[in-house]
Amino acid sequence: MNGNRVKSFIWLILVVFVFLLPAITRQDEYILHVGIIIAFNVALATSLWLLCSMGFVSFAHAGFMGIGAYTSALLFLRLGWSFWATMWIGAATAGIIACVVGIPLMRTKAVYFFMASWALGEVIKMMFALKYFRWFTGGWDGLFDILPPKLSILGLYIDFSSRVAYYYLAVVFAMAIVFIIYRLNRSRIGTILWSIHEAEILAEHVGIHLLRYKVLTFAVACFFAGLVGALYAHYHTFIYPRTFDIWVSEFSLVHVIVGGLSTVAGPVAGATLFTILDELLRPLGFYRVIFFGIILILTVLFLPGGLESIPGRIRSLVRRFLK
Amino acid sequence: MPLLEIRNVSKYFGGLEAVGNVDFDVDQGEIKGLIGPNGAGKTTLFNVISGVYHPTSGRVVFKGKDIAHLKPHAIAKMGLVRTFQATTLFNSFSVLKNVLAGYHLHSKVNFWGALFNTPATVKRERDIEKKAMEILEFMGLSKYKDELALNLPHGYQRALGISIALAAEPELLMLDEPVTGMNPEETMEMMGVINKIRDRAITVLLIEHDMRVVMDLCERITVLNFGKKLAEGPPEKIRKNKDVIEAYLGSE
Repeated sequence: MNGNRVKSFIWLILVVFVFLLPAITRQDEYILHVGIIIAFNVALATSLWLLCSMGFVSFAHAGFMGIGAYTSALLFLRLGWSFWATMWIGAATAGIIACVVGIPLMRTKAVYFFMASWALGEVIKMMFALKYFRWFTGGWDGLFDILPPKLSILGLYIDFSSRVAYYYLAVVFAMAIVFIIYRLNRSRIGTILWSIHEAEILAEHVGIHLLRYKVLTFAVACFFAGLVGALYAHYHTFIYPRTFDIWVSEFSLVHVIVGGLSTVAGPVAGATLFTILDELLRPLGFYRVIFFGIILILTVLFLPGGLESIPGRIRSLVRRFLK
Repeated sequence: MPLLEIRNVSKYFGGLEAVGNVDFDVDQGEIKGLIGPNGAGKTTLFNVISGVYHPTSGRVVFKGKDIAHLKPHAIAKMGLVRTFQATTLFNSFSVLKNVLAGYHLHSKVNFWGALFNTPATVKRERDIEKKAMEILEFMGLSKYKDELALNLPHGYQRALGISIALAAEPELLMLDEPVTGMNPEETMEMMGVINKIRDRAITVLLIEHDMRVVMDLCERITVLNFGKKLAEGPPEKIRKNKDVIEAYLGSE
């Protein structure tokens, strides 16, 4: 009971800090930029973690993020639709495609799923680059001028091309995604997903329709990835196929593993720390990936539960010390 | 009408006949035994009944409906639930959560309810938890409810496997070697539990190696050897059956 209250308190402080960050930093453009990237990475890693909780490691996640981004960007650029509609259509497109592709894909297991999802991610990326559709999707050159949205409600006019406004937009969506996935994980649905992770055959024999849950979970995770993609596209205003390279899925997976798999705090902590580290190591250029590799290996060897297991480890150390 | 009818069921793996033309019934309310030496095809037959494999030929009729081509989850939904030979559990769940997972069948999943923790959801979860505790009480596991499944001693793990199956509220419970690897004391306890399960109006079909257990528990026994039915009848008759003695002890 007490532990739960402490946890809620920590989350509350975190949320307040995130909301006050623009004021604390006097609207420092660079820090807010990093904040926005953290929000994207946290949302992406958390949606990937939802799949991990069912025992699936997907490398197609960046691809589905791309589907959301491209759908939203194309509707905005070619048809002139409002971002507030296109972002949802983008996310829904990612979810629906995941649902259809998931029916064969989610029948595979373990390392076969791993390879199949990898291939799927690459195929999606190549689809964006197709020469035949270059007039439409921009080929390898990508899409430009995907402008941030504007909003006027209740006499209030917000232009999201301002850094602060977009920061709040990204942060609110990231928090909503984390909250939804947290609630799902704590509910009966979460129990079912973890039971599939633990012992698929037993789950099936107490009446859990494996394929239905696997496909729906994949669709939900990819819906959120698509949502992040749409937010990403309208922030950077430029996307091209490499934006959704397999690297993005891999980094997201590293965030989840280093953060820890057992609760939603894992991907949140992992994505936050890694994004900050990535920024600090930026002068090293592409060599910083080496550090990520080293940290990943060290985590797996010495901190198997990830960052989220640290408080528990400290607690048991203290208890042993007091004895 | 029998609860479960196995009609001329055969299962081939490639050219290998694992089960050949087996035919037997399980009646409502009985404890039925399925025995046979190693490699007799008992487990294959169990897998065919529970939907892991589909039979090559023949029919499996449960409550008057052919279930031979249904998937395991659909069969479980009809009220036919099995346990596993290996201690297959949700290892990193607590004992209570294992049973809660087994209750999946009898509780609705509601996305919005899950999201906002509506009063209806909270009440439903509480009801399920109460029922799960009843099962743990019944199986003698209630004091271990917060223990992780993988930390339980072997005998309790077996009991937990049965608890999970009971949570799915079966009409026919299939037990795959429930006393294997148990000491005599644990075996006696498990036999008591199986009798109590039957007293809850749950029919039991049991595979077992331990002849003594089968003879004591079961009203009727079917004996398999090399995938074929060798004998069938009450324990006294099976005990005296020449073919059965030969299959177990070998012929001269």
